Amino acid sequence: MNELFLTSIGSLFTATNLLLVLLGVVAGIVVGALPGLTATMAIALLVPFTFTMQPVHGLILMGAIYVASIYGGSFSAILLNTPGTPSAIATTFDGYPMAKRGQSYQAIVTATVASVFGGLIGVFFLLFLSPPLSRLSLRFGPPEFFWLTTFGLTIIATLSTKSILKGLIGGAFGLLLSMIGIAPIEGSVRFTFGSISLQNGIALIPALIGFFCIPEVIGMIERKAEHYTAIPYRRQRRVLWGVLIHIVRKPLLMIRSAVIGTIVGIIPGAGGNIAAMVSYNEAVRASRNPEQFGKGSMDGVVAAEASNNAEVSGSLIPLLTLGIPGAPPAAVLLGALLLHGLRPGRELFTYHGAVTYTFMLSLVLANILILPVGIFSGRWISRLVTRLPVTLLAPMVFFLSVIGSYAINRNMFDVFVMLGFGLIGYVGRRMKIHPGPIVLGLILGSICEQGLVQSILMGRASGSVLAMFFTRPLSILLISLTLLSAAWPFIAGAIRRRQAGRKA
Amino acid sequence: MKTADRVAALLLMGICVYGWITSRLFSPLSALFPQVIVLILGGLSLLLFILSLFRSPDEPRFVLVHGRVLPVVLTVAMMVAWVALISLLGFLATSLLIFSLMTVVLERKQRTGIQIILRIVAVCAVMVAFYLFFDRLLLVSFPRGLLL
Repeated sequence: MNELFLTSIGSLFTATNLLLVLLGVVAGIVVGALPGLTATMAIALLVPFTFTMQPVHGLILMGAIYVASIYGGSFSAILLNTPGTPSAIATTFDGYPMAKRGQSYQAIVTATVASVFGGLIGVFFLLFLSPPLSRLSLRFGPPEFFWLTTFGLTIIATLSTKSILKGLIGGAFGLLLSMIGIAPIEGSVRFTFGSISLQNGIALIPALIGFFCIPEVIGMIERKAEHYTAIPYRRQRRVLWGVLIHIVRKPLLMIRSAVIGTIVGIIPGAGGNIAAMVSYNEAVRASRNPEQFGKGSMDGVVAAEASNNAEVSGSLIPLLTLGIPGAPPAAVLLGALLLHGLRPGRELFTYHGAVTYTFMLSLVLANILILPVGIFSGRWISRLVTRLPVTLLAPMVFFLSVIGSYAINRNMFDVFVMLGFGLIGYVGRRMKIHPGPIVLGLILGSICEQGLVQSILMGRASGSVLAMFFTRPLSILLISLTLLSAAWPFIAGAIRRRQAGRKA
Repeated sequence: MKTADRVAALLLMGICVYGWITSRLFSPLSALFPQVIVLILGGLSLLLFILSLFRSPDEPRFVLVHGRVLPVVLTVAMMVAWVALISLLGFLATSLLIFSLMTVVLERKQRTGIQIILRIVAVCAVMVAFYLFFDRLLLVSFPRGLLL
C-alpha cells in the first residue's frame, strides 16, 4: 500500500490532474449552489463527458464535483434559505438566521472551513479504512452479499422516506426493474416484452439521469418565481481568522460531526442530508447552549457542513470496497466505474491501485481547494444563483440529460428510458416514493439475486440451505444490522414517546 | 393521497400478477428471485391498499403539480416531443426547435421581440457548442433526420 500511496501522490500532481480538480471544484460549487441542481444530477450528467477520458481523469473530475457540489449547497442554504442540495438542509437552520443578522459572509466562511476540515477527516477515513475493508471483502461470499444488499435496501427504505412502507415498495420496485433482461443465472429472458433493446437490461446511467434530473427540471418549472431573492453577500475583513479560531477551540464538535458524517456515509444508501441532520441533532444535544441553535449558531453550521462533506468520502468506502454505494451520488459513480472497466473490490486496491489511490488523494486536493475557490468566488456564485433564470436552466438540464443518456450507448432507446423513468420518478416523488430506494434496488438487484441463488446452490451442495444463510459470522452480523435498521423507526418512536411522557 | 395510494397499490399488484404469471415460463433458477420479489412487492402493495382504507378522510389530497400547472404540462409535452422527434427531424434540429420553443413558452416576464430573439440565439449557440463538443471531439454521432 505504501508504495502505491507514494506513487499516487507523485502521479496526482500533473498539470492535467490539477486542472481537472480545479475545474471540478468550480463546477461543483456552481452546481451545488443552484437550487434544483444536485450533486447526483451533476455527476450523472458528467459521466458521458468522461467516457473518452482516462479512468483516473474521469474519476478525479467526478470526485471533485461531488465534494464541491455538496459544499456548494451551503450557499443557497445560507443566502436563500433553500438548500442547494439535499445535504445542505441542516445548514439552513442556522446559516440563514446568521445571514438575516447581516452575517452572511461569516456564515459562508464557517460553512467553507467546516466543509474543508470535515471533508479532510472523511478522506482520512477513506484512505485508511478502504484497504483493510477491501481485504475483508474477500471474505464476502454470496450469502454475505445477499445480506449486505438486503441491509442496504432496508436502511435506505427506513431512512430516506417518511413512510417505511413506501420506502420498501420503492426498493422492491427497483429490484423488479433490475430483473429486466437476461437472467444472470440460467439465462432466461425476463420481462422484455419482446424488445431486443431490453435484453441487456435497463441501462443504469440513463435510468439514474431520468430519476434524478427530470423531476428536478419539472420542479424548476413549477416554481412561481423566475429568480431567487437572496440576502446580500458582502466580504468582511478578518472573518476567516475568527472562524478558524472558533473551530479550533471546539475540536470535539468538528471531529464528532465528521465522524458521524463518515459513518452515515458508509451505511449503504443513507445520504448527506441524513448525515447532516444526525450530526446537527448531536451538536444540539452536546452543546452547553442548545437554545442558541436555530437562531444563527455557528456551531450549527459547523456540525451540518462538516458532516455532509465527510459523508462524501464515507459513501465511497462501501462503493470502492464492496460495490455498494453509500449515497445516491456514489451510485452514479458506481456506474461510471463500471463504464471505465473498474470493478469495485480488492482488485481496485491492487491491480488498479494507482488509479484508486490517485482518485482518493485527489479528494484531499479538492477539499483543500474549496477554501480559496469558495471564499473568493462567493460573490459571483451568489450573483449567479440569483440571476440565472430557471426558464433557461430547466431546458438546458433536459438537453444535457438527452445528450447524457444517448451518448453512452449511442442508442435512442436509452433516451426513452431516461424520459420514462424521469416521469415515473416525478410521480413517485409526489406520492412520497423517493427515487433513492428505487435506484438502489436497480443497482443492487443483480448482486442480491446472484447472492441469493448462489447461496441456495451452495447450501444444497453442502447439505443445508438455512445454515448457508444464517450461520456464517459475517452473515449473522449483517442480519442483525438489517433487523435493527428495520426496527429502528419503531424503537426511536417508542423512545421519543417515553421521553415525551416523562416530560409531561 | 389515499386515492393515489390505492391506485398505485392496485397498479403495483397488477404488475406483480403479471410478473408472477410470466416468471412461471422462466427456468427454475431464473424464476426464483423474480418470484420472491414479486411476492414481497405484492404483499407490500396489498398492505398499502389496506392501510389506505383506514386513513382519515381529512388527509391532504394527492396533488400532481404544485404551483404552475400549465407550464408543467407544456414542459412535459415538449420533453416528450423532443425525444419523439429526434429520430424524425434529427438531433440538432429537434433540439434547436424545442429548446427555442421552451424558452419562449416558459418565459414569465413580458419581453420585447429583440430580447426573445437574443435569448434564443444565446441558447442556440450554447446548444450548438455542446453538440459540436460531442460530435467532433468525443465522436458521438447523434441521430440525423430530415433536417439536421
